[in-house]
Amino acid sequence: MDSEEKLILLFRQGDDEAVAHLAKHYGPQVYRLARCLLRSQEEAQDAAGDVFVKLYSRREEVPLQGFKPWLMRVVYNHCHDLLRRRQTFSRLLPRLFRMSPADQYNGGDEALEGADRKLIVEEALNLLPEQEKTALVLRFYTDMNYEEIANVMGVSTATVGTWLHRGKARMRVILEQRG
Amino acid sequence: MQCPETPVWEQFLENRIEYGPNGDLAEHLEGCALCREQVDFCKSEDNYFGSALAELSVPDGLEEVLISRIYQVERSWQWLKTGLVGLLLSSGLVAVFVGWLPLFHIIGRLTRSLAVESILLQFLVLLVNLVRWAAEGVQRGEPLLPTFAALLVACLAGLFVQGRKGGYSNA
Repeated sequence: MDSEEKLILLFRQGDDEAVAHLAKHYGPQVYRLARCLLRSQEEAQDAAGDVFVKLYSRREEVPLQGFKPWLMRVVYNHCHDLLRRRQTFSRLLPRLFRMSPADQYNGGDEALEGADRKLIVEEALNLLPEQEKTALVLRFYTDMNYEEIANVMGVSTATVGTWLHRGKARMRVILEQRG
Repeated sequence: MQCPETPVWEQFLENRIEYGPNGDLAEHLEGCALCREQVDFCKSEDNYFGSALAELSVPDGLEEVLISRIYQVERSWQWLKTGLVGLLLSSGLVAVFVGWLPLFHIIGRLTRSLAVESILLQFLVLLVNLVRWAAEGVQRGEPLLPTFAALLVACLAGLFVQGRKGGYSNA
């Protein structure tokens, strides 16, 4: 049994240190994927909290193997549920939920202009279609392979390859334009 | 062999394919400088995107926020569970008292005479009298009284049980 499996076993038993270790190690990855899908820092932080609460309340169901892809799938599904509910609300109450152009790109949290590389990368990422952006974040931030990404997003590996290829090409163009 | 396109090399770097449309890719790579350049470009691009995306910011103190959120919800559930248990227990006691009121009148008089100096026993007598009062209210046909009494007993039972458990539990 490797160290991650031992950690998951302890987490299943509700061990405080295991909880802290998982939050420290996977929290940023969960947050970044949620941020990529939800576009607002506050929503992403709430979504990350919801996912960890779900994880803890149903800790007996956490798999010993393939934990990371499973966790990313939980985050992905949770964020899509939130977006679906938001779409339903926005159809019912359009005036209250209309987003400004700035919010549509980056949740209104950061300035659109900025020489800082972090902001340029985030801005470039936010301009990509959702699938390409999600595939890039899963590939390059959480270091998942094609099969794992395909499992999270519920598509074939060929589709993941296409999205990654297109996403990289678009990012390259945007980053070159912005220096 | 005709040189494969970039997507083919990307799949090759992912160890997902060994053969392209026209043959063994590793063999082709050994003999084609242009494709080696293309593969090096793909690798450096992967490194570039990897390091660029690693700079995506995360809020300070995210780990603490996540942990406190988990235990906050867990504590709320504990309070709810103990409150519900207390409510069920007290409702059961009220129902029992309604049927056995004369007997509990006698027990109440006896315990009052015995519990002069013990604070714990006096507290228990108070609880018993509250439940008896609720039961008498039910007998008189006053539904609100037993509800309030039952709620008070439930809160007290919840506090007592929660205090004994010492907060959220770790299995």
